[in-house]
Amino acid sequence: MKRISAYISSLLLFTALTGVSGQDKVPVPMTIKIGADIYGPLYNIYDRKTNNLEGFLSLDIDTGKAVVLEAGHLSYEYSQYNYDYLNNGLFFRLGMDFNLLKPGTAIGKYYAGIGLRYGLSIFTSQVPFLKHDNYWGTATGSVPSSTHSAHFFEVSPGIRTELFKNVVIGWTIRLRILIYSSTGKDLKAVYIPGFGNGTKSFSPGINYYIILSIPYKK
Amino acid sequence: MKYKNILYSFLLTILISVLWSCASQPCTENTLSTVNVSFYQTGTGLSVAVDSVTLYGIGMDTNRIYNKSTGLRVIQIPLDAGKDSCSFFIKINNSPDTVTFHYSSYPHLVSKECGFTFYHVLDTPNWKRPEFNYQLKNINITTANEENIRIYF
Repeated sequence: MKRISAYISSLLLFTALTGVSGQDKVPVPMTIKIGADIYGPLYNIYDRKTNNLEGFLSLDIDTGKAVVLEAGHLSYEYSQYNYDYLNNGLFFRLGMDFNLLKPGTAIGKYYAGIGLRYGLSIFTSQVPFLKHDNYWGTATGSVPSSTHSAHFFEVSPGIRTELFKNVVIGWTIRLRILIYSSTGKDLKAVYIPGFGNGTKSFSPGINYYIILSIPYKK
Repeated sequence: MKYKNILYSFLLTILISVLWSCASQPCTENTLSTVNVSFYQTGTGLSVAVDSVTLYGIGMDTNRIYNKSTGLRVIQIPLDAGKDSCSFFIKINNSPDTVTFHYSSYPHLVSKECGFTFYHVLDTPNWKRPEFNYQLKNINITTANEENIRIYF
């Protein structure tokens, strides 16, 4: 309850500060941020067959920009009446975050901005069982395990705020466009780690991060 | 203040879009792959509608795909994905025949919601009593409703 109150207070403070114009010279610390997504583990409580773990590393290069590297692992199972699907693999995203708040407003603690990422996914997928009904009855089959890769581009708007000293929380919405998948047009991946629904060229997602912010320069 | 409202509105719109996209969608795509046979008039090459078509799989005469259907320009013939050949009784106007298709099959993912269907690659069909002129146009049998065979009469 205390943390929720602190978060709400921080969000209100952040909201108030966004109306304040920045000063000419504001000492803003440059930070290295190391974080973990907590949306994936929470989602795993709801859906035991999807286990997504990912981490976040960023380096401020000035008061408005940071270089970001994200990486993670997905273990995914999906089953419906006419097929089962298994997938697991690694993914990486590299890019930059752009803080749209002025330095005097952000003061090194608040972020409301846009990220751009290039993503790479390497995964193994398998269809242990599939069936299809038509005029002649039910035909069954399977697809053996095979390894593939996929590339995608991402735009990721988000908000982050300092919960207490050096600890930041926030969420990021991910809007991804698939550039290429090596699965081919007949056996597309039902799910691509780091991207989402592999049968679509556009896939949205969301993350909620808790981040340790370490100042390295003022 | 205006800047803040625009930013929040933008983020809220994106959040709603993400949540809507994450909701499960029904299967709306076509999942049946068929051999598409079109009828043409010899000489003119124009598409024509036949007076009557009857079609059923050999051994499946109680389950007719077309039963004296009239006015058709195109008929769709499903293949048995569990085997590498299947045969049909076909009667166009008053001319009966038996046709056997030989093919290979492979799975194709239609969508996450629909699951898999089977596509086929067709060999030249065998007609028992070829009273019509048949032309194989496209050996790939998919869900795209493309023309595969032309019958001229």
